[in-house]
Formats: sequence, structure tokens, C-alpha cells
Amino acid sequence: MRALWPTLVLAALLFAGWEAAVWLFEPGDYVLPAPSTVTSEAWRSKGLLFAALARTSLAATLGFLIAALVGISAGALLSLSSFLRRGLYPLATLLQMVPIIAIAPVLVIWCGYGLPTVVAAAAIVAVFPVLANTLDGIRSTDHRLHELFTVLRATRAQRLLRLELPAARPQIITGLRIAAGLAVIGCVVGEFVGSFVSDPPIGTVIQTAMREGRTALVLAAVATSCCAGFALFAAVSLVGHFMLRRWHESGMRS
Amino acid sequence: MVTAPARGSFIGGIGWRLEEVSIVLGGRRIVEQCSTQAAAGSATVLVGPSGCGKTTLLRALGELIKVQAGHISHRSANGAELARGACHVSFCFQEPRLLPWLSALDNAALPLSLAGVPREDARARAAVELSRTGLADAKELLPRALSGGMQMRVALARALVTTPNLLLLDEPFAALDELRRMQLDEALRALHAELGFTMVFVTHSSAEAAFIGDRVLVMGTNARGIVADLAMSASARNAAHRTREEFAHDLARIERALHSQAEVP
Repeated sequence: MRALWPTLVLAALLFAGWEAAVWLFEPGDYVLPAPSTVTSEAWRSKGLLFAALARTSLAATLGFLIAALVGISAGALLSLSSFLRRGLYPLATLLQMVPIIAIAPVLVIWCGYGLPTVVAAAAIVAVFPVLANTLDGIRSTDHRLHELFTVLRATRAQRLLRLELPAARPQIITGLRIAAGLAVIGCVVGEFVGSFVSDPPIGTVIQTAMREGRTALVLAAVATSCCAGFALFAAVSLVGHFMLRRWHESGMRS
Repeated sequence: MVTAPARGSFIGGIGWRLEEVSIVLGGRRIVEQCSTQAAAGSATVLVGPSGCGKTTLLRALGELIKVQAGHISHRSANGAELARGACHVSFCFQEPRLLPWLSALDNAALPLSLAGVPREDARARAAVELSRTGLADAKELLPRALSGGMQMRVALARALVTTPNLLLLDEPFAALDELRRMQLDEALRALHAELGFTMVFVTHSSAEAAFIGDRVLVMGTNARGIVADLAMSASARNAAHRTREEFAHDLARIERALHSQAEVP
């Protein structure tokens, strides 16, 4: 908690400055509502925002889990074969270059409106950092430990499951942490094009509020999506901390 | 019932023999036409300056690298050649090489668990080896909580857990301070006397060579191979041995051979 106080002080200053600027220059609620206006708007729409948060969090978590599963498995698979690695890794990199907003409409065509499209968008943007970090972690396993496993006549599967993947855990967790934030971003983008207005998730709330000119609600919804991203990020960090704290330097700093 | 490891069907030491062995690594001749042999249960030390090929020869004995010419064989106590994989060879490296996420006990049990021994059996046998190497109280600690000497003791226990017929040690205690190294040398000789495995020990310290070896092979640089084959005195190897006159005599012979590198057998 003590480590957080510079952040808190800075945030408080920022919001105070914002509030003062709105009070001084009166840009109008449509252009820039004051933090207090956003807060009261959020309070008034709390039912809507909570429901949206729940929907987006569910989709982001599902997308994140798929990305984690696919990313770790694909990373492990690519580490086993240099043919696959040379063939597939550039394609995976390409996948990361495709703007998610551009393929989201195609996802709607394939998966239809609703949860599947949103989950797919989240998984697509989140999978690459997991894959890349898993592969990197596996490939940087200490060669001296590899030699130990050679002396002990370990099978290829034993080498992967008992040496490479455990040794790659710090990098895998780094990849998962990046993926956690990206999953929420992918979700909101997916929701822009592929969600039902009747049960609006955060992305849809943002769009509707924008059309209605309710800038305060847009900002409140943006803050809500930040909460979803932060919660997922914190959960992954916590799991990583408990997985690594006993043996790896990165997990010992609290 | 304790399940035997996949290989290593008998207990006790084996002999080994090098016949006209030549090894080239990365285009450089490391060992050329080297021949020697050792009996079952022997303790042989390879000593020599850096780059003389002692580690290479040790790795070849453990089938970690291939030889370009000649023949390396493992032999039963009566001299018959053993098939590849019929005996059990263990390796101790220059570093402990422990998996940082496993406890001392699980590290020591690793060779058994990779060979398919059930977890509880493997851990029970590893616990026995850890008490043998003096770590009965540190079983549940992770490597990072252990000192360098204790980590090396875990590595030694891991090498012993498969009841090796041949134990190959590559400067295992070189990174430790003098006192720790002497303690571990004594522990190793005691284990050798107790368990009867054959060992080959690589070091660049002539004092360690004189203490560990029944026989010391001094190697020369420029692929000259074994330049001196010295039998050490037969007295018991405990801490007191270092103060005996025979030890001083053995040490002087190794030093002379190292300096002149001319005392060809």
C-alpha cells in the first residue's frame, strides 16, 4: 500500500486540476464534463454499468483463458519443431498486425452477434504475447540443465513438461499479464460491432451514450472497462506471484 | 517393493577401458590415441592444466560426446565388455545444476522419477542419499536457501540415488572454498568406500587429486594425453591422511609430473 501513494497523490492532483479547469473555462458537459459530473453520472447509471461490467468481464475472462490455453500450447508446440517455428511464427506475428477493429465485422459474420464474437476478438488480440513469451521462455532454458536431462536420459515429453515449461513460467506469466489487459481491449472492440443493444456490455454502453451525447456516461463506462482490465491483470499477477515467489527473483519482490 | 531404475541391473563398480581413443571437438584435436584402463571399484583422478582434455575424456566415458576413433568400453568385474546401457553411469557437473523450483529432496529424486519410479519410492530413496551426504535436515529447502556446499551435496545425492556403477565427477567442488572442498572430498571417499562404485574424478588441484585418487593420471596440453600414470599410497582417506608423509610424497610426485610433464609411464 505504501508503494501506491505516489500514484494516489498524482491521480488526486490530476482530478483536482481537471475539476478546476472545467469550473474555470466552462467547456460544457458535452465536450468535457468535470470528474464530479462523471462520478454522479456513474452513480445514477450504476445498475447499467454493473451489468455491463459483468458481461464484459465474463467475455474478457473467457477470451483470456482461451488465449492462455492456445498461446501456451502453441508456444510449446513451436518449441518442439524448428519447421513449425519457422513456418508458423511469422504468421502468428502477422495475426498480431491485423487491426482487431478491421476483422471484427468478419468475426460477426462467422460467429454471429453476441458472446462468441466478443470472446473471439478478446482471444485473438491476447494470444500473441502468451505465445511469444512461452516460446521465448522455453528457448532460454539453461543449457546446463538441458545437459543434465540428457545425462538422465529424459524423454522429449519429460524435457518439455518437467524442465522447459516450469523454467519458462516467469516469461509465461509476463505474457499472461500483457494478455489480461489486451483481452479487455479486444472485448470492447468486439462489443462495438457485435453485441445486442438489449443486454449492453461496456462497448455498447459507450456507443449508445456517445450517440445520445452523454459524454459523462461515456467516460464513466471507459473507467468501468479500466476496472475490468485492472482486475484481470491483478488476478494474473497474484497467481504469478504465488507460483514464483518461492524460487524466482521476479516473484520475491512484493 | 523398491522398483529398480530402468538401467543399472547390478550393484557395485565396473571397470572401464580406453583403446586408442581420439576426440576432435570443433575442429580441434583434444585427445589423440589415448589408451588406459581401470578396474572395478577404482578411484581414478584426471589432473592437468586447462585445455588438456580431461573434461572431454570424462564426457566421452559418460557417452556425452562421441569419439572419432578408438573404443571406449565399460567392463564387468571379471573383465567382460558390457553392452551400452547395461550399467549405470552418473554424472556430477562443475555446478550443482539443481532445478530451482524443486526442494532438495525432489531434486535428489529427479533421476528416479524421470525413470518412472513412483513418487513416494523415489522420495524415500532420495531421503536416504541426502542423509548419506549430510543433508537429512535440509530436505524440504529449495536450492536458493542452501549454501554452495550444500547444493553440491544435493547434486552428489542425486548422482548416487540411482546406485551408479560408475560415477563421473567433473571438478565438482572447484567453486567451493578450501575447507568445504576438503570436507566434501572426505565425504566422497567415505561414500566410495561404503558403496563400492567406480569413480573418475577431474580436478586441476593436485592436492585434491592426491587425496581422492587411488591412481592419478596427469594429462598434458596439445593433445598429448596421459603423460604420467601415478599410483597413490594405499592408506585410508580420512582427514588425517592429509597430514601423513605418504600424502606429501604423493602430492610431490603429482606436482613434479605436472611441471615437467615428462614422467611418461
